[in-house]
Amino acid sequence: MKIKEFKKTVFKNAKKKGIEHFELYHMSSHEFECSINKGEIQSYKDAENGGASFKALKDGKAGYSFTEDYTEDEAGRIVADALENLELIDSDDIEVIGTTKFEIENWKDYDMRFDEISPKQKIADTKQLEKDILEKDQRIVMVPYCFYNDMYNEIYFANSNDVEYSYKNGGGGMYAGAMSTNGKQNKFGMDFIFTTDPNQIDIEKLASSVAEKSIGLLDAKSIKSGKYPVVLSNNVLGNILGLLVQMISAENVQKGFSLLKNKLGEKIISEKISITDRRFYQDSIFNCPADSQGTLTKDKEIISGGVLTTYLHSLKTALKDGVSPTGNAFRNSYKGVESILPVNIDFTRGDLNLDSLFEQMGSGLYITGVQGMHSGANPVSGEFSLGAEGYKIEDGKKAFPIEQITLSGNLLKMLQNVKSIGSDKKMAMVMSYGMYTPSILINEMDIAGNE
Amino acid sequence: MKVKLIEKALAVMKNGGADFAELFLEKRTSNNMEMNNGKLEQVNSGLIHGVGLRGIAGKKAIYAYTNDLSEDSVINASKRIAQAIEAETKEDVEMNLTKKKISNLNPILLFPDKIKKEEKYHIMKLASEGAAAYSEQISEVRINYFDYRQNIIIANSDGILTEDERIRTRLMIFAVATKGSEKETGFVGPGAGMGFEFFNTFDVTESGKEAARIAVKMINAEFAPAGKMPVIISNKFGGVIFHEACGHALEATSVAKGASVFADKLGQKIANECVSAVDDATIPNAWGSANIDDEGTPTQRTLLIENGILKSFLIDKLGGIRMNMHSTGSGRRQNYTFAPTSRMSNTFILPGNFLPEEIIADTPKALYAKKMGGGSVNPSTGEFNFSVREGYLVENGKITKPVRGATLIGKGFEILNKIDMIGNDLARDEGMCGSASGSIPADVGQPTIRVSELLVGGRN
Repeated sequence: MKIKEFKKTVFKNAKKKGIEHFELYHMSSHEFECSINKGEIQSYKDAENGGASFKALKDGKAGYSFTEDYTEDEAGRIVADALENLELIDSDDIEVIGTTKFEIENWKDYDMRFDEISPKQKIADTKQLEKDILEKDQRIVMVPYCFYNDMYNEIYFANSNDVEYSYKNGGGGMYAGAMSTNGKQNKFGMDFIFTTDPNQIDIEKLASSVAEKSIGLLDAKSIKSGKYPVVLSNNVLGNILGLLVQMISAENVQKGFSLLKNKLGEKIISEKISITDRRFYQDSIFNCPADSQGTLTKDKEIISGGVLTTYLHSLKTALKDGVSPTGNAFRNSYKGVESILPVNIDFTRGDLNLDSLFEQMGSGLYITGVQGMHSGANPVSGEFSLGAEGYKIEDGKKAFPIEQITLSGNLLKMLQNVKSIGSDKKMAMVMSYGMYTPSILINEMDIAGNE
Repeated sequence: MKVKLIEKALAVMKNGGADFAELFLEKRTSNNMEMNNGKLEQVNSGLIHGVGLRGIAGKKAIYAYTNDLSEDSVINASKRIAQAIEAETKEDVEMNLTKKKISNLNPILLFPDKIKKEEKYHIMKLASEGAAAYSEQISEVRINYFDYRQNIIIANSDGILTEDERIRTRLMIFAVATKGSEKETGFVGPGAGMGFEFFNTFDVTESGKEAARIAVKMINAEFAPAGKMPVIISNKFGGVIFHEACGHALEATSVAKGASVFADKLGQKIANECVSAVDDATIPNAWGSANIDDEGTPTQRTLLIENGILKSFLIDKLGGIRMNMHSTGSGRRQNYTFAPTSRMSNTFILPGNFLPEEIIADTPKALYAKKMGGGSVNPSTGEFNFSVREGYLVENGKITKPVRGATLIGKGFEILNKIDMIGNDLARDEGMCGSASGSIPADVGQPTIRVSELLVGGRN
């Protein structure tokens, strides 16, 4: 059975069961990935799959059920299951489905440009990347990770209010990590690029960056514990900002899992910072025209000059707060339910390049990598304590690489304490939404070291 | 899926030049429920049903998956593999699969898909009430319940066809304590390779209280000190230290390409003499156990380290080919959308002779990590980090005040040599382990251990 036919059967079954409001969310994904090690194919994946989730609503309660089999039986099973599931719900929250029909405008589906490249060429490019990295410096002994990946998703949504739409997004990229050694110490450095446009991939440039990130850290030592001024690299800021994304979810706010409850209209961080969620960011693989509930996505300033202007909303949280939905209820897969996520987080760009940030700091630390975001950072409290590496900066210049330190703080306090913002900007690797952040100079952070 | 189609798919890959061809068919029904502050908010159940195909030629492996299980789609995927493998084609290979029976080490009494959801709701409610009633400082409680029933068929060009069924059940309890504008959290997540009978093996209300106890203890604690110091790590989830600091670096995935700090250390001393450790997927009904791995190899108990000497790596089929060693039954994957690779199952340090109290009494000053959070490691540098969920100071051989916000960092090969006391209180705890082949259930474990020196990241 094809998906549109499956939808018809499911909707027919739903009506027969007397369900008034319901929706079907379908996603099919195509993925290609290969990796190279020592000039040989290490892994190679060529795949497609998809599935559908049925959501039933009754008396303001929602139940879900999903399947990967588009059969007559399953079209019956998911309806019955979703109905059984919602009967158990005793939450006071009121669930709704989209009522506004719309046409998707100002949107171009992903043009599948990565699919025009042959697998042979993709493998050759990945081999080239590994070779280029190894040739950069004799101290690079291995490239443990050297990947090419592209994918696209096709989304189809329909509900009982005749809201119906489909779109396609995706892209591709390459990433690699190099291991270098000085005989006593191994250092690992990685970099990546993900884009909708294959022409943006510059293998030579990526190789240089990966090599530099690994070799640069050789002969690293720890430093004394204490408080230091710190420049966080663009990707480190992006990683830590994942905490803020969880705090601005209206779902977390309403449930008491966020410190930002009752903070709308208040200054929560430095006035130097504005943060916008964009439906379209140049070359972002996360761009999308509508969320997973039938609300159009839109650009919105979340933090304006340090002031919190909005939370991110689903239909349910918007109804509860008496505001308009913001188009931020997304499903990562038909297997899960909606969670509140941004599309592309765009952080204020400053006017100082990295060298100028170092100069302004004079003496301090440049943190280029953090480890342990999933365990050492708490999105409820905003507290984090992370393994870190980078460089000691003296007289505005890189003095020596550092390792075996921890960087601790509280996200909101850290962002209150911003001295300057860099003019660089890069996508951070956070997986389920775009995160575009600059490097940033913080007046003071807690560092624990070994010395 | 008909055996004829499985045989045909394997034959297409073999004819296309694969030395080894494999098919992994998975059907999984699952159930997920979420309760916030005593109210059930989400129930989601469903089915995944798909196939993963793999062809190996030399050291090269090609993987494809699809959930279109029609003959055309499956054969097409096999052909794409044959094409990508670029090996010398073979003519007219025929596959005749023989069913291989396996013995079930993980008996199930109450299949979760046969249990009424009301009963699952009841369990969640007990946990939620246990946490909420613990203290006035508890402001939020979240309970997640999930179970699944996974049926797999694994067939390969060695002519073997195996079937297995895995059942897992887990409850996750997350409590938040609030004091002024500050929040701290406590977490307990009991799980097992069991059906609903799992909830007869412990007191769910007590688990709720335990999550709340940690949150309340921490909201009233000062920030941990920073710097180098001895660290005593309690049993159960404390074993995450071995999982991160050593376990990942023993996986063939890293070892085969020489990207692990332990790659050339087999038979050599890599840890203090008091350290012995195993990976054991044969513990009946444990969270990380299975009858066979996801390549159809029977699971085993693998001695990894004996008295400080490295005895074995964790090896899957492809890793075995690349390293010229046998599989240790360690090929695992999240589901059919992942190619299998070497992973841990239930991994733990074996018990020593000391009572935990003796270890504390023997220590003038240390951080005592009673509950660990998660962590991560970079296998090529050995650098790890993990967070302490519940910490205390040890002063003059006694546990004194609670401390929060501590992170432990170090290098795996260094910490193994710095373990200088091991307790007799071995116990395991459940976690989800993420790596190349996805997120899989795995137990960590250890007795109480003392590390003579570690870097503690704290505030004071």
